[in-house]
Amino acid sequence: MIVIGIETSCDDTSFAVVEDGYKIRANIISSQTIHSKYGGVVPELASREHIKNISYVFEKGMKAAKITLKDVDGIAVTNRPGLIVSLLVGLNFAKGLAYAGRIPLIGVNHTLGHIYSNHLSKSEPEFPYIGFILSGGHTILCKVHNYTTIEVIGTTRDDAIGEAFDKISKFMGFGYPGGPIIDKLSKSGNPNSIKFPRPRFKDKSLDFSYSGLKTAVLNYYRKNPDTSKADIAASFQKTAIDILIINLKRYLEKENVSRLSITGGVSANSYLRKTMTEFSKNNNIKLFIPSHELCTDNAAMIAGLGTRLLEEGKKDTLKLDAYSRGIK
Amino acid sequence: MKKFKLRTSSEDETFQLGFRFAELVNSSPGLVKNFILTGDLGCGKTIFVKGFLSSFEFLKSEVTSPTFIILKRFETADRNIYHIDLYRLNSPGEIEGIGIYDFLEEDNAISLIEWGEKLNYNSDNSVKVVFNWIDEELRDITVEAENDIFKIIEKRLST
Amino acid sequence: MGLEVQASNKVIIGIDTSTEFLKLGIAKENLIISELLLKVKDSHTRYLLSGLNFLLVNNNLVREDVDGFGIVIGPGSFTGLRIGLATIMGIISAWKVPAYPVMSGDIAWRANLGLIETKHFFYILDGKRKELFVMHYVKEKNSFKLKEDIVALNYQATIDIIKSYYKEGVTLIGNGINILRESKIKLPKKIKIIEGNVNGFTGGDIAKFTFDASAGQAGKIEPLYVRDADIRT
Repeated sequence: MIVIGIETSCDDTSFAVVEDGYKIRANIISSQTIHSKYGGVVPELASREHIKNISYVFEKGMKAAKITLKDVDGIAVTNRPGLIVSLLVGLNFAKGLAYAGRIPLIGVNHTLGHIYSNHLSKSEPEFPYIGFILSGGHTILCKVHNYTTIEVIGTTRDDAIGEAFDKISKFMGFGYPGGPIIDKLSKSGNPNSIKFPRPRFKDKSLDFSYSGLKTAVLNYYRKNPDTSKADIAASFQKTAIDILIINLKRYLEKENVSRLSITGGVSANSYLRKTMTEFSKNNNIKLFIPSHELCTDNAAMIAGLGTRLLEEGKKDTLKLDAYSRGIK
Repeated sequence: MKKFKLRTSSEDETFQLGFRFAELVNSSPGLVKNFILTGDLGCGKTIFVKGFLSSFEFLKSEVTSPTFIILKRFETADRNIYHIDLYRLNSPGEIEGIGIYDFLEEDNAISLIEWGEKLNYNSDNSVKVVFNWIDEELRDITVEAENDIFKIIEKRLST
Repeated sequence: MGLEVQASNKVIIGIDTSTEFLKLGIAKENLIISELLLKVKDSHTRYLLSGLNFLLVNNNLVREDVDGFGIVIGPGSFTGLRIGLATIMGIISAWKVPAYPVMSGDIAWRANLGLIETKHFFYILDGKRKELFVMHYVKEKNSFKLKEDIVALNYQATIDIIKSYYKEGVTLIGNGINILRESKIKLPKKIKIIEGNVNGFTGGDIAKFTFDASAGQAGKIEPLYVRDADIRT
């Protein structure tokens, strides 16, 4: 079965062809390929203008996969959550294709798509497993029951973890994206030099919060502008990752976990990888982290998940709409 | 433009201020369409929005930062409320490029726009709320609006 | 008009999603055979394809009968235009039929040619943000030519530009007229106004005039950028 995927939920226009739910025949991401289209220089404003990229990534992906629409069994498209206008471009392109080619249309939740990137990798976790989705827009801990069903254990109540990295980096005068910058800077800093607060909730929730940490770091920097930035970065980074570990530990107190996955762009953070690898080892947990290309926003995960939804008989009508938030 | 200043001494008070603004908007339909929220990181803009949306029965935990996806829509019985964050956008073209004006001008809709000072947009029924960091807890908050709107806000908030 | 354009026996679909209306139409051999007008506000995404399918089925056409599309690329609603354009891009990727980009003003004067007796024709549309999109056309023989670049102007500036030509005769079409009236700015008396609430043309008009308005050129369909700050690449 061949399913094509379209993902335009935020900054990137992406198109993919996936066979049988796991063989990636093509996975085109605009920020990586548009360079060549514009001769090396990406115009500042072209990034989010999906209407200019969508036909291009589609043609390129179909060619790379050496298929035509006649070979396609389903069209999967992200329709939630995301920036509404961005979603609408991908969604309506998909609808046009579905209508014209008489091909089933499947609306896909971007968040579940991230989890599915585990199943596009050579070694995939068996169900059920515990998954982290950590990115600029997400901080989710969930139990994955099968390809299409997750149960949220905890999610952020304010900022996403990747967002905290970006904002602190920018506030201290470094660039964007902040993840790699803080990661690198932290290597020359002392992670135990400053004690930043961890969130506490009155209930027993396993939710996350990064707004308090962000504000604490900014306050510290405002009051102590002469402190080594590397120390601030390292102490922040350690706390940010500790917050994840604390909730994971609390979950382990109640439940058995033998498999854990991390998806989303923050999975590239070296301190996170080191900490999670150690933690997993000490707790007899097998850790899964897909390749970086699959961890960031991409259409292959959408096509893959779309395949599984289609196998379950889930299809959408051509009236399908786009939603900025999780469910609706 | 007229302005008045008030001070909040905790997150909770900033939250309540947002709630009171929502009550005010509800009791005077059409009075305010856009809230331009200005202030540095960690000054309470999102908390204000959480308070505002709590008046429409959205949970605190439902209102999370829109920084990454830029715009979130909250649907209520009779209107959409948009929580927008321009933090990641820099040029007017980039702001134009997310189609923001279609939402700002949607009938009945109310928008709360963090980093809204980046918007080059004049609308009669805008209120500007400026958050200033004093220390860990204290925030000076300045509310600016055109005369007619201002009078109503001042009267309602001072009681 | 259209004398030098070859009569087409092709089935052309006209589409406009640039305003709160969804306009669809079918033309065959330059004859409008069917059209659809729906006030959908901001829900084009829900109605566009079902509307198109309804039109085809209702006229005993199958999808494979369609030879091309004429689509309004603006000026107009940011979201609406992207919904229309993305849908058509998807369809033409599958069918490999051409899409012809047309500007709404170009369709408007063609659809009203018999009624515009003045030298100047202004097509004015609600541009939101207290501005109007202004397209200024001047008569040349039996057709009209766009005189200046399309601009977004405030109400007073719109009146000023209209006034500067009204001695030579001016006709207005478009929903901007009502906005000017509501703004209480006085329109000069001698101006001719063609009233109507669908901005001067239907979906059928788009289909019928597509070849003429696009000069028969199927091209890259992209939204029309009007404001200075609009994204360009």
